[in-house]
Amino acid sequence: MPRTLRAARSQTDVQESFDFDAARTRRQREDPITLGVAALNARVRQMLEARVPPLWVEGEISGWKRYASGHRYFCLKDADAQINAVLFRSDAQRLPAEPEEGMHVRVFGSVTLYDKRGDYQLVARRVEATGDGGLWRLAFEKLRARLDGEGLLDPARKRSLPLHPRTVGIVTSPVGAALHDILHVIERRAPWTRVILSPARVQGDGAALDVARAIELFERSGIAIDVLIVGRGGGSIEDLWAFNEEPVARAIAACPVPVISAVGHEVDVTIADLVADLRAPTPSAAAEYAVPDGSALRDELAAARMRLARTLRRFAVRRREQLDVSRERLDRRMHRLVEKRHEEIHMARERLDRRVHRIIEKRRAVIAQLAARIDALSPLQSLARGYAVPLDDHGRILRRTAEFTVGDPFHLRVADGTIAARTERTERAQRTEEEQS
Amino acid sequence: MSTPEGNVEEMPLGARIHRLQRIAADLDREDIELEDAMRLFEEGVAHLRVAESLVKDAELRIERLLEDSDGIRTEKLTPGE
Repeated sequence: MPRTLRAARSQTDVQESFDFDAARTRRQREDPITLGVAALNARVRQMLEARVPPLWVEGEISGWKRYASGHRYFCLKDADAQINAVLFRSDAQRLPAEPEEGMHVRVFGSVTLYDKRGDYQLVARRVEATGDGGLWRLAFEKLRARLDGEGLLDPARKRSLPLHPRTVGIVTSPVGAALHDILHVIERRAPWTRVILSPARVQGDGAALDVARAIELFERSGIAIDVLIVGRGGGSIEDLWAFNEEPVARAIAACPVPVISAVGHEVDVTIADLVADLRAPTPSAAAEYAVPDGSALRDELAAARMRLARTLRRFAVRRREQLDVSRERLDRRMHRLVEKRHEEIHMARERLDRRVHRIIEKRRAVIAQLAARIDALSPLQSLARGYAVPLDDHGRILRRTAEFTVGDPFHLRVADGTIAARTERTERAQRTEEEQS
Repeated sequence: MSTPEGNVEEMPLGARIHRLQRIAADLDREDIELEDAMRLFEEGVAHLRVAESLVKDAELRIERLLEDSDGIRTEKLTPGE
């Protein structure tokens, strides 16, 4: 843009009117101007700022330094050249990580001149690493390495989710799509669930601390939740950045109940995802992980009903079988008992028989003995020995002299027959009388 | 054998389903007494009845956690608010 040519009239008014084109014209007229240092620097700065629009500059980081003020100073260079650069604190806050020495970056900013030192420099507004994932990746890897070193990413730390949570906690924006999606899924699947939202700002300055606070609020509240969903809907890497920051990671790791993370879309993996007990690809998926499917539950209950009925039936059948077995056993036992008694009775009878037999035998022997004795006393035996028995006509034995009448007949019975006799006289023997009395 | 855990009416759904599974397992035991079996069966049916009505008729309760000068509390949250 051509400028009005105005010659400098003094060192003080060049501020307003200096123009290099005009100066060149003067030089051509071999009449160079004289300027003070400040004026020169100011003129050069203005020229730079006017002529060079804000732009991206690519190069390598060298001598990156963070000052206590929060400003960053560094040198951007390539093989042949370098330029000093500054990133002021307000812009530096957006840096996910401090770039490393030699890192290839692109810097957006404007060139200017630092009047006091006369240094030409680049005032950076953004610094992005151009390599693999850039500074975000770098910050991510650094935090990941640190958390990993502390064991917070250990798969063994992952807790399993409750099968039937009574209460589900949610940390997300109260106005985001994520909350809507989560509530919709829970309502569809498990409407008996109690849902408690702990609202948080999920992007922008201080978002990480706010998310961490919202997570910790559950524990401080003393309200028992069974599982916690932490997340937000999709967005740029900057939008999701809070979930890559340490406060969120630590709050998740310290949460007393299992945490499901759901940050952005499926492709976005954040530090929060790595620390969480389960990573869901989306907020809707997180809700599906968190609560059981009502229809599955209805099936489960129907199965429980059937199982209960079946078990009771089986119980009854088993009892009857047991009863049958017992009865059979009892029958067998009774039978055996009866058999045994039979045998005992039989044996007893035999014993008795034998005894009776012995007694009879014994009696028989006694009788025989007696018979023998009786036989010995038989009158026939006496007759055989030579005795004779007097009998009257009626066959009665005549024992005493008084039964005999002189002159009367009587009979004498001898061993082989009878003899007719008659009483001649009777004579009582004295001794016989005595024997008789 | 397990004993009933708490009030049949107030048990959370998860515990209820767990209890139902225990009851079925107990009913399968060889040494269970008839009286116990009947009691378990009745308890199981009660759990089933409550759980089934819960699954059928429930409405989502949504609350918001708040912290202010009064401390931490929850208030009802209407979705879309």
